[in-house]
Amino acid sequence: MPPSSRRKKPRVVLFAAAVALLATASWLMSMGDSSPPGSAKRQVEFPKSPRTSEWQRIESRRTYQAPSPTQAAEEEIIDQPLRDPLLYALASGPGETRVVIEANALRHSPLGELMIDCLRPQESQEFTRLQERLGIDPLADLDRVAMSGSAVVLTGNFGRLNWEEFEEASDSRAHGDAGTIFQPRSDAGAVAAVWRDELIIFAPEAGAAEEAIDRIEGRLQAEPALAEGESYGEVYGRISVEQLVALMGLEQDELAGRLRSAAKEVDLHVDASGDVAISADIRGPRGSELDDLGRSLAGAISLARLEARRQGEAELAELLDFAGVQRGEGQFTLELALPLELIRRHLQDACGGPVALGLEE
Amino acid sequence: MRAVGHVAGDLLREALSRKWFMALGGVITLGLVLVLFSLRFEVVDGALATTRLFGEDLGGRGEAVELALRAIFEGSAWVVFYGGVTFGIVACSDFGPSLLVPGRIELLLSLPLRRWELLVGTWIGVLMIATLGAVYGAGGLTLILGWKAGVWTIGPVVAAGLASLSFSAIYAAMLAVSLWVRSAALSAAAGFLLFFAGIIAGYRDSILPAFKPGAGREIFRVASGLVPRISSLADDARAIAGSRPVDLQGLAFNVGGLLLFAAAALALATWRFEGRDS
Repeated sequence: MPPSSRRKKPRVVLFAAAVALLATASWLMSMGDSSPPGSAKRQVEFPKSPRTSEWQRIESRRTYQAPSPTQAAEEEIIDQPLRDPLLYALASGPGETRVVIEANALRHSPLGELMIDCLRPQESQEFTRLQERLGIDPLADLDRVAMSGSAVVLTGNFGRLNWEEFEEASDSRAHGDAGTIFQPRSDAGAVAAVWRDELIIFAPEAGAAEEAIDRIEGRLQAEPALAEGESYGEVYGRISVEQLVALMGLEQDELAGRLRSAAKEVDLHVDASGDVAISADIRGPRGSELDDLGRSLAGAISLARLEARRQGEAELAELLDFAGVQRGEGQFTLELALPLELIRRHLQDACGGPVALGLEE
Repeated sequence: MRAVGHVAGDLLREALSRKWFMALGGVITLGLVLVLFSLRFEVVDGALATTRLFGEDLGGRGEAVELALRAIFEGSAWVVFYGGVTFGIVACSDFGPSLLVPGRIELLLSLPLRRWELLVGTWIGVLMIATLGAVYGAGGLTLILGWKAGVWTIGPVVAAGLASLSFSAIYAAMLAVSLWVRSAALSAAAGFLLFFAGIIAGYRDSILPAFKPGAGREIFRVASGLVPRISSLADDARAIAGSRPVDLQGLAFNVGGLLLFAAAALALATWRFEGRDS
C-alpha cells in the first residue's frame, strides 16, 4: 500500500469520528433542552375554508326550495335554488351576531368524546331522564344550535319530540306553509316555533319567530345570515365587535377602545376535528388602525410567550406556542389553538382522573 | 499521554511568561482585595443586619445571610462565566496560530510527538490556564465571603468550573479554525461567533416558536442544535452559585454534549493537521 493511502485511511476515520461526535453531541445537548425540540412543533391546521367533507355537508343541507315570491308560473318556481333553512332562519342585520354550533359534529369530535366520557354516572342518569321527558336523544337527534340576536334556533330530527308540555302551556297556531307557533299563555317564557319537525326557533316575541319562518319560506326577502362558503368548522359565525368585547370582559380596557375604533366585525371559525383550532378574522374599514392592532396583538402574544417561558409557566407557554396573528389587506386573523392533550389533562382533573374518563393510555 | 502533558506544561509556562496573563492574575487579585476591604457585613444570629459595599448600604437587613448574599454569589458567577470566557477568547486566540508559525512547527514536528498530541496538549494547556484563573477568582471570593459572613459554599467554584468547560469547547473550535487560517484575529472571531451562537442556542426553546413553521424554522432548529448551550450553562452556573435548584439531568446532558463537541472539534482539527505538510 503506498504511504499516501496509508495516511488517507486514518484521516477518513478522523473525519468520520468528528462527524459522529458532533452528531452525538447535538443529540445529547437536545436531550438537555428544556423541552425536546419537536414536542411543541406539532402543526395545528387552522380552519381557512370548507374542506371536501364540509362541502358535502353543506350540499346535504340544501333541503328546501322556497316558492317563488311572485307566485308566478311553475317554471319560475323550479328555478328557485335549494337552500339550507337554518341560514335563512337567522336574522342577518348589520352588526348582528350570528353563531352556529355544529352540535352533532362536535359531539362526534375527539373533544366531544372527551366531554361525553367526562359524564359521571349520576349525570348520565339525569341525561337519560331528560331524554325520556323530551322524547328525543339530544346527542343523536340535535344537529345544530344557532344564535342570532336574541333568538336561538335548533336543527335536527324533532319528529319524536314530546310537544305535550309546550301545548299545555301555550296557544299554538299554524304559520306559513310548514310552521307552528307556540305562544306562551303567561308573559314569562319565550315563544317557540317549529318548522317541518326539523327546525325549532326560540324567540322573545312571536314576531321574531314569524319573521324567521317567513325568511325560510321566502315570503320575506332576505340574504342568508351566513354564506354557505362560510359555514365550515364545528363553530362558526360572525360576531359584532361590541359582543366580542363583552365576551372577553374588556369593556373598560384600552384594547376594547382600539378594537371598537378599528374593527367592524369578527368572523369566527372553530375546528374541533382534532386539536381545537380557533381562527378569528377581524375586519374593519380603517386599514392602518387595524394593521397597528394586528401588530400590537402579535407583539403581545410573542412577549407573553417569552414571559411565560421565563416564569416557567409551561402550560401557558405551550398554549401561546400555537397562537399567532396573520396580517392581510384590511384584516388580520388571530389564530389560537388548544391542543387536545392539554384539554384531556384538564378534563382529567375536572372529571376525577383517567379511570373516570376511560382515557387510560 | 506524557507527550500531551509536556506540551500542556510548555504552554502553561509560555502563558505565565506573558505579561497579560500576569496582568490577569493581578486584576483578579485586585478585585478580591477590593471586595475583601470594601464589603462590610454585620451578621447577627445568622441574619444579615447590614451590608455595605464601598460604604454604600446594599439593604437586605434582617434576611438570612445565605439569602442576602445570593445576589452577590449569582452576580459574581455571571461575571466569572461571561467575563472569563470573553477574556479567554481574546487572550488565548494566538496560541493556535503561534504554534503553526513556520520554523516553530517544523521544530515541534521533529520531536518525538504525534500531531494529535500536539493539538490535544495545546488544548489542555489552554484549558488549565482558564480553569486556574476562574478557580482562583471564584475560590478567592468564596474564601472572603466565608470568612467575613460565615457562609461557606462551593457554588462559585463549581460555576467557575462550568465556565472553564464552556471555554474548552469554544477553544477547541478556535484551534480547529487556526489550522485552516493561521490568524489570531480569525481564531478570536470564530470563538466569539461560537460564544454568541451558544448564548442563542441556550434559549432556542424560547426562540423557536417565534419562527413561522417552514424552512427558516428548521434551519434555525438544526443549526442551533449543533451548538453548545452556553447560556444554559451560564444560567446553571448562576443557579449553583446562588444555591438555587438546578435541573441536574439537563446539566449533565449539556456538559456531556459540550465535551463531545470539543472532542469533535479536536478530531476535525487533527484531521486537518494530518493533511497538512507541516
